[in-house]
Amino acid sequence: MSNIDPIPLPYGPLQYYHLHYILQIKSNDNNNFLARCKPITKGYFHSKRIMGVKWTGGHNFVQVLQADDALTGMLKEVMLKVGEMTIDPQDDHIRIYGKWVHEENLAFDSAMFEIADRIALHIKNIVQKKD
Amino acid sequence: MGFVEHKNHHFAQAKSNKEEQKSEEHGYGEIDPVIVKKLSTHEKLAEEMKQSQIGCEALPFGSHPIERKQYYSQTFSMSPKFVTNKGLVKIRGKNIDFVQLLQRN
Repeated sequence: MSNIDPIPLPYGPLQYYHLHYILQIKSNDNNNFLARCKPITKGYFHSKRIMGVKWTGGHNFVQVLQADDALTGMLKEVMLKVGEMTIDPQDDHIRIYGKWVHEENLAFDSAMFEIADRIALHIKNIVQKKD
Repeated sequence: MGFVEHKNHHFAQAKSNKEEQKSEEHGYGEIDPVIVKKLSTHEKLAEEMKQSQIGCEALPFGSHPIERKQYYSQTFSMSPKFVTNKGLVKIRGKNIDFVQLLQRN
């Protein structure tokens, strides 16, 4: 376990990190890839279970993501820990990220990487079809 | 002469500068020198990715134009305004091109 500073500085960077998975893609439709995924849960505390996931955002893109059963299955496994998944497009790249992570929990998550990779695959397919 | 390399695996103790410290014991020939290599946070992340069989490379700070652009589109509410770039990792052979680590201010 990492050493936690007992007297943290009252200013400067906080102990929270964001891991952004970036897809470098330039298209006129980048703004259509705006989306956010939230879990559908049942129960509370220890009995909390993920029943499904709900995507909100650009209509066509969200339909593609929601229709991917493999992606939904992967999301169900991590959503209890990650909380939400955001796809944040910009002019020449698209960022995919979850929630802020405290530094003592910061580590590479291969499941999250696979999910981001699959979302990136869908984005590339949509852009190629339009071209 | 053999070298023992110790790598710090805790993100909490991450330092931005790469340092290499070499300590040598004098007087006793049996004790080998110890090299302590401190890695920055994104370099440790790249090491973990390599252990997961993902081809990647930790880029030097500020070497890519993405690091000098906005990190959030500010379309979503609660998007942070002040963040610190902690490094960029280039991914090879996947749909994802980069992984960037940001710290909240």
